Amino acid sequence: MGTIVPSILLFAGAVSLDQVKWWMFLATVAWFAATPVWMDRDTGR
Amino acid sequence: MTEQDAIEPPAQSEPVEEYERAPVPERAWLRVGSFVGQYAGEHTAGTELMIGPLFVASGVAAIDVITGLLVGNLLAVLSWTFLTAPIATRARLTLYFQLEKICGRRLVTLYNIANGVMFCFLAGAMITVNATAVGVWFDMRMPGLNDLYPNSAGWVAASLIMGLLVTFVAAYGYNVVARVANIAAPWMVLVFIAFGLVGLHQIGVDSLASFWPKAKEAIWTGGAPLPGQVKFTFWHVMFFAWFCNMAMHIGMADLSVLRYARKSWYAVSTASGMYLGHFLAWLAASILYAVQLHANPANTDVLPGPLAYRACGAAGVICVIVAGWTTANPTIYRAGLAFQAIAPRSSRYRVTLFTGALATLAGMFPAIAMKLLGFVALYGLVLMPMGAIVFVDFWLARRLRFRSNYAEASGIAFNWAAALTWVLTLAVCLGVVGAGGTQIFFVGLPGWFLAAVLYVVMSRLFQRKDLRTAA
Repeated sequence: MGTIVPSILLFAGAVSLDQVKWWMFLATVAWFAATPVWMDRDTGR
Repeated sequence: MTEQDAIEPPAQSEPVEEYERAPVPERAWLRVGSFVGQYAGEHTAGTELMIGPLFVASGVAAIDVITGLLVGNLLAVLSWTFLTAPIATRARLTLYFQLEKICGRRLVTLYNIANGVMFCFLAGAMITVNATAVGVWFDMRMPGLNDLYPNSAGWVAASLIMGLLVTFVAAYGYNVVARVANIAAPWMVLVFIAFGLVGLHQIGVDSLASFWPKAKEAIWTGGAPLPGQVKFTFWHVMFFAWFCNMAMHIGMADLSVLRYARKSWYAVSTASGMYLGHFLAWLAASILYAVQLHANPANTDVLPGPLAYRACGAAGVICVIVAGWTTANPTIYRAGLAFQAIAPRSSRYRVTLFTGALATLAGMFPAIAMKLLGFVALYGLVLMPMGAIVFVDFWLARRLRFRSNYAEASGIAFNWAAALTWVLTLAVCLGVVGAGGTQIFFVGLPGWFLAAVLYVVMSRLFQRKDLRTAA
């Protein structure tokens, strides 16, 4: 969500480009931190 | 774009049966969901960020690029579904093993070498893409649109560092990057969509209604191509989108993937890759390039790193690096496997390191990346005749009264009918292009038919009568 929603809000004129860049960076960090954990849980590793 | 093929797992992984020399048994068949994600991730690569901008540089018009991509990608999906998958789900063999039965081991070795060389250059283009990401944070001169050679020490250093990193990880940490690719695939698709939305905003599109006028006047303007570029029309886009993965569908490389499909129609899952990667990602990347040209018409450089950074900041650059890396990794590995066919006693690590070194050297030369549209067309063309041979051999051999799987039946290691078909088809196609008869994007389709006819004629000429009549 954090990856795509900021750009949708930018398109709607609700946020600035700098805010988009920050939110996308945070979402990227969160994605790569959290996804391996739930993927492992999913595959029973 | 890349190729998924049956590959032996790296030594440090758990043993996995890959059925390299046997039909895939029913217990290993997969459901359609397994293919949707795979194709989506595979076709959202770093090179999409080169191809999209190159469309804009070619002066393509908005209506031509959108309809051309819609139709061309559909033709690609139909090629996988009606040409590749029916053979894959009946024979259940890898392309290499199937070719070995038809062509003989020695000819397949030559095919492997050609495949390996092309993979090396393709991986080099991905290293080039990654090097442009490094360039975002260092003040270094990067190649321009028409540069063929490295143009600064900084560029050489960036390419070398990225290439060596990719190479060592491909040799020693393959599984880690493969896992990162699985994790990153959904995120990358979203980042590419974000590229498009940010780009549209930057170019002045503020509603659905304003999209089309802006698309025509500011993004895909349909004017003259930039200097050094070929003018693209609907037909160029359509044939490029259809045949950029020619090696995989009508070239039959994806027999090795689709042999695991429970049903033939699962090949429609390739639509996930075609429409997320080769439609959305290409359009999004071209929008970013149009924004760049709009801001400064003199800045015609196609550099994915800065393009992504201007749109989405650090997340964009990370996407460029991850997209390039996760595709270069298996590409270098497979090139290594292909080369190992000529030096089977060499260790996989040594071969992968050698292959990565070649790809790194190729990556320093921006020629492949800057001429990626033509290179991809050439790549498909070189491997396409073997796909025609597989198709004709599987479906038409008996009907046209020659022996299928002739190398296996006769015990030969080199099927001259197949070899001559390959060489003559390429000679004619490249000859026509070289003589200025047509552009390379348009010879793949007639070339396939030529290869099919040549193989029938050559087989009837070369096959031993006793084996032919035993078919």
